Amino acid sequence: MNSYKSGIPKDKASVTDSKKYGKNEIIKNYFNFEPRLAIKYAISDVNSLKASYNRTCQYLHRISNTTAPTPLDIWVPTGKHIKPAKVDQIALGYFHNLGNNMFETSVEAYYKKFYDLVEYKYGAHLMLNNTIETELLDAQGRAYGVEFSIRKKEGRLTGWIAYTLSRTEKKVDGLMNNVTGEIFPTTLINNGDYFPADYDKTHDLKVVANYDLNKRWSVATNFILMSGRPATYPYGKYEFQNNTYAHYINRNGARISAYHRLDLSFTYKCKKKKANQNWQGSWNFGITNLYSRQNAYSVYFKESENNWAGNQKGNATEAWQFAIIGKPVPTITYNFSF
Amino acid sequence: MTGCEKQIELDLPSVESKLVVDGWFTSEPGENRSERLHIVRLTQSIPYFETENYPVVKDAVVILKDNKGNAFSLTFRVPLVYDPNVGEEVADEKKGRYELRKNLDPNTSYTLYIKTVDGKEYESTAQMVIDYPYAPKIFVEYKEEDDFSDDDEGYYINFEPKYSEEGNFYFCWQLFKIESYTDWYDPENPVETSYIYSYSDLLFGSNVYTSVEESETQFDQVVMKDEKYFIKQHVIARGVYDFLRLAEEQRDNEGTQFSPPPAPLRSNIKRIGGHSLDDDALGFFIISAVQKTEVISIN
Repeated sequence: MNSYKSGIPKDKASVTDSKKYGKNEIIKNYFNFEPRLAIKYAISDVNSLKASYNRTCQYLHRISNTTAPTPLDIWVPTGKHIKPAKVDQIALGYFHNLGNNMFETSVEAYYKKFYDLVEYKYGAHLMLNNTIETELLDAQGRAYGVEFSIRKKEGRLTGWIAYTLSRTEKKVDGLMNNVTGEIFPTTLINNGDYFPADYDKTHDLKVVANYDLNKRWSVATNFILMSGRPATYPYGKYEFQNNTYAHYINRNGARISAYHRLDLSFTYKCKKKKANQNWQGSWNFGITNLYSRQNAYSVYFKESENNWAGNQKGNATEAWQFAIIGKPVPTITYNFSF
Repeated sequence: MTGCEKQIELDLPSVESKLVVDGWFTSEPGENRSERLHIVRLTQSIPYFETENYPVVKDAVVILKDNKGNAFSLTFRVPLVYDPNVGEEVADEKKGRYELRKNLDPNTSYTLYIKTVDGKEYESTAQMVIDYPYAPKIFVEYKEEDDFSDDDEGYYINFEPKYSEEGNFYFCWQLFKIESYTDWYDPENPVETSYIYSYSDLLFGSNVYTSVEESETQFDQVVMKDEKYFIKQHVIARGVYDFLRLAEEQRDNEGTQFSPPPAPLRSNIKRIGGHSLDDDALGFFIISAVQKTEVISIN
């Protein structure tokens, strides 16, 4: 474990000392108070108000500096250089049942404030990096939103609709140079302004419906619509040393296209072979992504391959979209419950 | 079924065109005892999907300053380029640049000052011509075909850098090829001529980040017998090292799901009186001290 000179960005060039810790030797202790408070007030049999506050600490940070979410995200535990993340959350909700409790409706609003988050610096190399703290910056964050929900619990048609309008943002203030009074440029992201977190979703709509056709067959549908993931798009391009470079300004200043898809499935409930059979089997035949939506997984930019076709190198640049599972996917499953 | 890529149309945000500075001065002396010719190109950025040429910035004041109080003005020139349609050399406005003939002094710090016609002033951060005492050692390695390696069978140029024990140093290395040909312009007096050109991308190293054993010290290109090569070692400032590495990362970014997100390439050309990093120019002004290896012939 390295020690670094204080007041300047952590870097291999600013290492002042290193210490080797033995097996089971404690490197750093963190003690945090995590209170929880929840209140419910029943206005009537069908109306209630709920409020809550909680503080949570997370001792494991997920760090990903890939263009799209992948199973290769890096998890970093807290330690000498990385503090546990903390979040304070308050929430207020109103719940109302309709139609003799056939329908449940709710509206909830929340606000979260995050402390001691980490964000990766520009050009960070995270894979197999045993001094990962040199690639990370201190960050804070906030999240707020309102969720609407309506659920039908009874009858042949059941299901729910949920819509969330929210914002999740991070901020990196940068490290101040005590000599010059300016921020070290390599520690600053987006001029210290709030920017959308990688997992920010402004709009999130889900519709789930299930209809019993008869005693054996039922049909279900599932529709999802979400804002596209934040992405970094270029604002222009320029030439340097005979190469074309994109001019990027703000991290996560744009979004890839919205994600939406429709799934459809039919379920057949099998007859019980014995009257006293204590388990129930069913077959499910489904299609995921019914209308072949090619939801963008990532958007990237590159020079056109045609630039190299003529006598003089061109400077055409293109945007490309990579989508995963852009076709309907049939599924067959057998379920049993007991 | 599992994945697909397609080109898409996007409506990108646009910003005001920015000044782009492209200059790399080295400590190499001029040829034939003359002063070395240094070039700075000033252009402007354009919208991302534009295919027009990058506009050249003329009529700017460009001055190289050193830490001894000296100032050297650069002069705008349009080079002559042979036009096959016309059959003679013509001025190519697209290649207009600012020139200065001067040998840089070792252990001297330089900045570049620019003032454009609209009154905006810029100045680069100071960089020193470092008097680095060691050149790398160049050698050739023959590699057999290997199931575990992507390298083709053949000769590869390697080098062994020598890192100084004191101080933090940052390097980039580039491979150059020497081609020889016979100039038959005068059939009665053919002249053996040679020219040199860059044969590889830059490799990077530093005594801060890596030991000699961990450095990238082999160029990827296969070389052939009887060819001649040498390596230039550039000793550069930390800011230059970071910029060139990020630039290489952007060029190599294939945009896959495992690629890092794009990063702005912060320039060292600061706007005088600017309020934020967004006011700075784009590009970079680089000063490097150069050491060369001996010329090696593949045999």
